[in-house]
Amino acid sequence: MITVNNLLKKVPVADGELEILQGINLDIKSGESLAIVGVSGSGKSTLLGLLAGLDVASGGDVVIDGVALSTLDEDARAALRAQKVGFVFQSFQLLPALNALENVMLPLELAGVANASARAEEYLERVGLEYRLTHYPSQLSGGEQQRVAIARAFASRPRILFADEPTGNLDTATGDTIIDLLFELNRSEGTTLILVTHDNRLAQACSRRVQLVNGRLETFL
Amino acid sequence: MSAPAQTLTARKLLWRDWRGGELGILLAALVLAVGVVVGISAFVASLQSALENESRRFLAADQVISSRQAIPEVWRDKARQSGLASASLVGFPSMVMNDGEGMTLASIKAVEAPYPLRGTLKYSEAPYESAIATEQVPTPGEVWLAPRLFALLDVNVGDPVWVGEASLTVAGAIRSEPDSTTAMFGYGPRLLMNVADLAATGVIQPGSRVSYRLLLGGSDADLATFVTWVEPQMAQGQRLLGSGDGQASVNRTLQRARAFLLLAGSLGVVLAAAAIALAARRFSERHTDYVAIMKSLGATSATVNRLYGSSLLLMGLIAGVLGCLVGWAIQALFFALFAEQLGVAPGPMGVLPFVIGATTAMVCLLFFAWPPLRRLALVSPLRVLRREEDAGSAQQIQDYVFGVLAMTGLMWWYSADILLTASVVGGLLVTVGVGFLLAKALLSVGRGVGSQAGSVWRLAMSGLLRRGNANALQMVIFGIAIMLMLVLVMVRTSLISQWQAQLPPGTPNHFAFNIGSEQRTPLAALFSDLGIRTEPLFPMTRGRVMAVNGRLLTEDRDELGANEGRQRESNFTYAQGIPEATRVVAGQWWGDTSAEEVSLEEEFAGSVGAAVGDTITLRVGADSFDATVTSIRAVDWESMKPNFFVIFPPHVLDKFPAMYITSFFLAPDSKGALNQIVRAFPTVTVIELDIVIEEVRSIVARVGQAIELVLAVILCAGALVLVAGVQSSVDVRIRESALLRALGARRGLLMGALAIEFTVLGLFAGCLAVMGAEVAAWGLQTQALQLIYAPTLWLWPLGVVSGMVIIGGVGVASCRKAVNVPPLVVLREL
Repeated sequence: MITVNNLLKKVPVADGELEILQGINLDIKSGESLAIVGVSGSGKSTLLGLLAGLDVASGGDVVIDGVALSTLDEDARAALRAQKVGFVFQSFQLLPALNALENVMLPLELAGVANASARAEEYLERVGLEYRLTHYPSQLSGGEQQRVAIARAFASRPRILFADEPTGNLDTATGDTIIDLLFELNRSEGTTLILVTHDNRLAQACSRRVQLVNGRLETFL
Repeated sequence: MSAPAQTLTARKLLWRDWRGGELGILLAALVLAVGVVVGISAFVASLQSALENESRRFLAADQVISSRQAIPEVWRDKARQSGLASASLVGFPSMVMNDGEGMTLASIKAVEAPYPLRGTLKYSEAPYESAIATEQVPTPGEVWLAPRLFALLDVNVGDPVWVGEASLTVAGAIRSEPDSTTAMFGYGPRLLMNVADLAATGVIQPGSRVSYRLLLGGSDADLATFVTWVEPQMAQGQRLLGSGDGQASVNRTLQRARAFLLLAGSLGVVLAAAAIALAARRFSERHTDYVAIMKSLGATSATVNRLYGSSLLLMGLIAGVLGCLVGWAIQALFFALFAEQLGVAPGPMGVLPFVIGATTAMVCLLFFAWPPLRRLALVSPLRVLRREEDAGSAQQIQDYVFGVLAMTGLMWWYSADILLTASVVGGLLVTVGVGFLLAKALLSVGRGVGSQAGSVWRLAMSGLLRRGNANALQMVIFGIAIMLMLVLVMVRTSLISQWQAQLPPGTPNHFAFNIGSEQRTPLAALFSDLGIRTEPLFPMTRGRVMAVNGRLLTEDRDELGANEGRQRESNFTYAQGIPEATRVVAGQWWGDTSAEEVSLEEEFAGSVGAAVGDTITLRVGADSFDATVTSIRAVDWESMKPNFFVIFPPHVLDKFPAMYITSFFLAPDSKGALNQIVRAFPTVTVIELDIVIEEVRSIVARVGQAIELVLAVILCAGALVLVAGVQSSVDVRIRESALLRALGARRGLLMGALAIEFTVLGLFAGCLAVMGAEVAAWGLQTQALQLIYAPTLWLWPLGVVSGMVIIGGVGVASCRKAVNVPPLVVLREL
């Protein structure tokens, strides 16, 4: 369960301050899938960063399972991410020096999971990359890289999965495959899915959609 | 997370980085730092102990007690009990006679087995035949004569000669004694006999001028025990001589060589530290995204710090072990390469070099690798969403300050020489200071420059200016690397050339003295007939400094042991001009003077306590007179040219009777000429120094070779820094070039621009380097190594051109990828 109370984000600019988010209020239930849509610059990624505890709000609060993020320092937020959160990014964010298996193992190793390698293999198999375990990101196609990223996100069995334009760098067909995979895993793992997208198909696949316009949640679709 | 899981992750992190090629340069820099330090200090330690052994042969022992009275038998017993080898030696001048009327003054040396304890005794069966090394000494009843004595006494092997009341049989010719220069016992040619025959000669009477020596050999520990016991019992006129008392020129050569090697090692450390700093910076830059992702996946700052800290520690351990092995191999290689030329077996090196190596590794990691890595923990996890997010603040000023302090401390500890350290740090500060001024200028020009991809030159210049900040740092590091290499080349060149100048071919290797005034012309004619070129003749009058400014000096007959304020007896000479190999260090040399002036050698002046302006009272024969000290001279005693402690203008001394001295060079195959000289002028004394000079020369040559080798190692370290420096900046250049290629830029345009950009960087770095090098070299040569400084013109073209060629070349080679690999591949990888 995530509750967002009057969330504000301001950044200093040359002539004063820019309000990127202007008092966002939002409740997200466990197991729900939510799409945040909006034009470029509307504040979608900023909101996602705040929800995931990657950034600090200028005002208001995000409460995850009863814990207010504003009361946590960066290390405590990191611990919370390690426990509850997974990510899928537009630019995949795989580490080039690690092969597919090692990339998936990384969050498991950080969390001290004992059978990291076996679990990583299992998830790579679930995304259909069991034959690509030892391949490096530069040897994988964009769609394959995003599948590795999805395997990595789900492997640590997070309660909440944040996805930032997960199909943004992919063609339509590959994007469709990724959407299917994302929702299939979401269902089977019972994860709360929060994603930012321009992709209408992806937004439509979510159980709920909100639109950001100039830093405000204007429309609930 | 449990501790074992953490260690596992650090090890994995390291392994993955290694596999990904991220660690290569960092590890290589670290291994090289440790390797160079261990290698050079082990080599220096080992060479020093070996060469000390070598220089001990000039004493014929590890230590010697010299005495004017017979050495108590109990001392010998104690030496024996302490586990030391010992041998007695007695020396004195005495007349030696043949069976007829012939007689001559000889320098007698009575020895016993196992003389010598160090070095080799050489003899031949007949004078001037080939010399043979022997472990024997003359058996009782027999003597070995210096080749010239055969001629002077007109004797052959098997003939008897008389020393005092004893008749002894000539059994061979003495050709070389290891301690011939430190145990002279008068100026006549040598007669070597057995101590057992001494009593029979009846020559030694109370009051005779006799030198006694007890030669000692054994381990340092045993020697130290004995010295501690014997020292309190030593009376006036008894002295303890160690390796430092062997041969002055060899000692000085060794000291300078040691200073040079330590300097080289210190520069190696600085170079390696620079390489480590650069490699760590690049490592940290390339890990910024890595850490951002890890943090987004839940890694805390503490986890990141622990992870990278333990990886670094692990790397330090691996590099420490590898570096020690490399260092050991370097010194072993040195000795293997020079086994023959060096002629010395490696001495014990001890564990100190390895301790120094391990400390170097840890200090380098802590002060040069850790600061950029430490900042990884500050990377914002938000970078995974927004790449432009702060990548952790750049190098901070305190990192530089701590880095410089750490390096200075390390160099100081390593070289144990504050002047040497200060000179290098001074040069570094000039390079860095001028570098930052230049960088600031570049940056101010560079604001608002676009990519300007229109022409090769404009593209190159705009690249140079746009990356002003990174380029400035790189330029300074390149400057430092080139500076250190130049300094070493400069000091080495000056060291070697001054060594060569010290004893050039044809250096006088014989002294002739006791030349009477009337013998000057016929002797000069004989030299000329024999084709021997001589140095000028100097008059020589024995005299004594009695008082300074009217204050009478204490009397002391022991010339060697003279302390401050003691009377000194010496040979005086007169000259109008300054003799060769002499430099006035205080006051002024006289011109056309009619005043009573005198010039003193600096050490001599110190021992009598006289300075410029003082009036000293001198006595020659029965006459006393005063003279004002108008100059103090430094004398290069190693030049083998006649020189004097006390010199007067001619008019002061020419009224006193004088004998003359000269020196000349005699090639080995012309040694027979000596016989003609001593036969024609039996009263003239000739000292042969040819063997000593050859030995000094060979030691200098060996040390010179060792220096060349160390220089090569340091140049490799410098090259590594340059490669690391270029590598640290290629990512951004490759990325930009790939983008420009994607946008249609020609290959030639990009490579040309990269070549120009790196070459210009090299040009600036070269200029910085030359400035810093001049400062450092001045400090080193005038302060630390006591060499003569002269600005080096060749340094400018060398520094600047090598900077341009090396950095341009390495830069272009490293960025080849930007034009040879399809741009898409480059862009995808980065």
